[in-house]
Amino acid sequence: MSSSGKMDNPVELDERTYAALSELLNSIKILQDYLNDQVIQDLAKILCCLLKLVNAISSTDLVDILERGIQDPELDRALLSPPRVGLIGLIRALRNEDVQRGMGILIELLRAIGKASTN
Amino acid sequence: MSAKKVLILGAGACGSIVANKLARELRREIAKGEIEITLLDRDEISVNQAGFTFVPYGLYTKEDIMKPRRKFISPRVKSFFGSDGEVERVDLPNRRVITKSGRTYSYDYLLIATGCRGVAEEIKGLSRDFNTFYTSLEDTLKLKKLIEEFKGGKIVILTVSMPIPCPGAPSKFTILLDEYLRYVKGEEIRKKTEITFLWPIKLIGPPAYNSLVEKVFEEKEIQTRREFSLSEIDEGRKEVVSADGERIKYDLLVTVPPHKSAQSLINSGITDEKGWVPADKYTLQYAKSPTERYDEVYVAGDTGPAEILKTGVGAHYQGLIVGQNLINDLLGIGAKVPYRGETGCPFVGSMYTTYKRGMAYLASWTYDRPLKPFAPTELGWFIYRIYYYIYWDSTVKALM
Repeated sequence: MSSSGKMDNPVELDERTYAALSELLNSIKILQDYLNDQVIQDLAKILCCLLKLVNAISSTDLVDILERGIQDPELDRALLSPPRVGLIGLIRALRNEDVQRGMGILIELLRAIGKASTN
Repeated sequence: MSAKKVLILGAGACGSIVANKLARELRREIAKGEIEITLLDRDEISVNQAGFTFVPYGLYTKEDIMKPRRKFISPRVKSFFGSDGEVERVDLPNRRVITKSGRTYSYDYLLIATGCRGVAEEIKGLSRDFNTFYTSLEDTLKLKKLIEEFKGGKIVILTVSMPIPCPGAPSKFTILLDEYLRYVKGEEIRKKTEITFLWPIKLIGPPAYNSLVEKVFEEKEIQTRREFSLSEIDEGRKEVVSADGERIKYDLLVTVPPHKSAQSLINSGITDEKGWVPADKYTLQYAKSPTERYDEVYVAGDTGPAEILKTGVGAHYQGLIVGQNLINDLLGIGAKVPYRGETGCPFVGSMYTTYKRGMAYLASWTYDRPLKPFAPTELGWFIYRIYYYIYWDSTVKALM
């Protein structure tokens, strides 16, 4: 190790590492040979969709709420035997404060989606 | 308590990156009304200017390189375009900006990222024979037609002076031109064509970049004149006239004009003696002199000082760094991320045609880490090609 902290001889490769590297490089060559300018354009369209999703989920606290919400033990229990809820059941559920908050989020989400769809 | 205001001038790559990064990471503060992000720009349409280099050869279309800004700027940002977004005056001592419509915007933090513009009219005769891929899509499409219809003769690619945005683009354009004439138009046309590259300084990019350009130009029989000092264009005789009176004939002249920052910034008295907005090269904060500094003002992208290279890669890094520093400033986090001169310039060795595969490389370097010798690769071409398609959903949205 030198005084600057850099390793004097940073890489020592054994036979297995060489073999792994060779395999990796050959695999990259498969990708290289597969690509052409049209494939690139088509891949880009798919990538753009994925990037929109990445931006969407990294840009909202809704994901954090969903992440916690879907781990709720009461939901886990309900999923073991999903209850059948009719109109009366729905009205009864709406008296629950958590359901009301969830409805509030859904209504606001609907409003925002509607707004976004017009511009 | 009134909201802390961030005002961003310019919705190009850099301004958009900063706006979207702040919108995403400060969403709770924006929702609570504690922070307000405002973005101003003259145009509602965003242009990936780097794509102009490829348009004449049919590698990208208008749809690939131009998009409506409203699709790519977060709705959390208050955006104003048109005369409400066109900057007329920047008043740094009073922390306010006035736009063409007469609207005044105050700020606590300001980012100046208004890019730069070509000023062909400053060269005698140039406006009367001005063909370029540096100013607008219209100009680029006009040049595309001229190249498509070219039947042979002398083509001169002239770069008038430095600094220019994307200083690697003229050599890239020239290599692509040779490839296009040779492999798309046909070898016969290339044989009947003489290409001359006129360059205003000694090196074409960093030494390693310059060496490779020199080698490729030699192989392609592209004549190069460095440190070429232009006097005027004699468009009547179709000649480029140098400062020492030498005349170079052309049939098709392609010019990269001199560039300047926005006239409104010059009129506001905030530029340096060269006409660029001065900034510390590490913090990117406004610094005209040791006594005339404004720490709440950041400068990034092509409008910055001449000593900071004007590249898309640089604008990308500067946007991410300024964005983070604005977040730190706004939240009172006493930390600064330094800009270490991260920049780069893609090199194109050959174009993807029916005769050969494309070859390219993303050359990058920093203030203290010079570019090492490199070689273009096939994968480099594909990475370069795909990048301009995903630029809008990745870079502009400050995701990577």
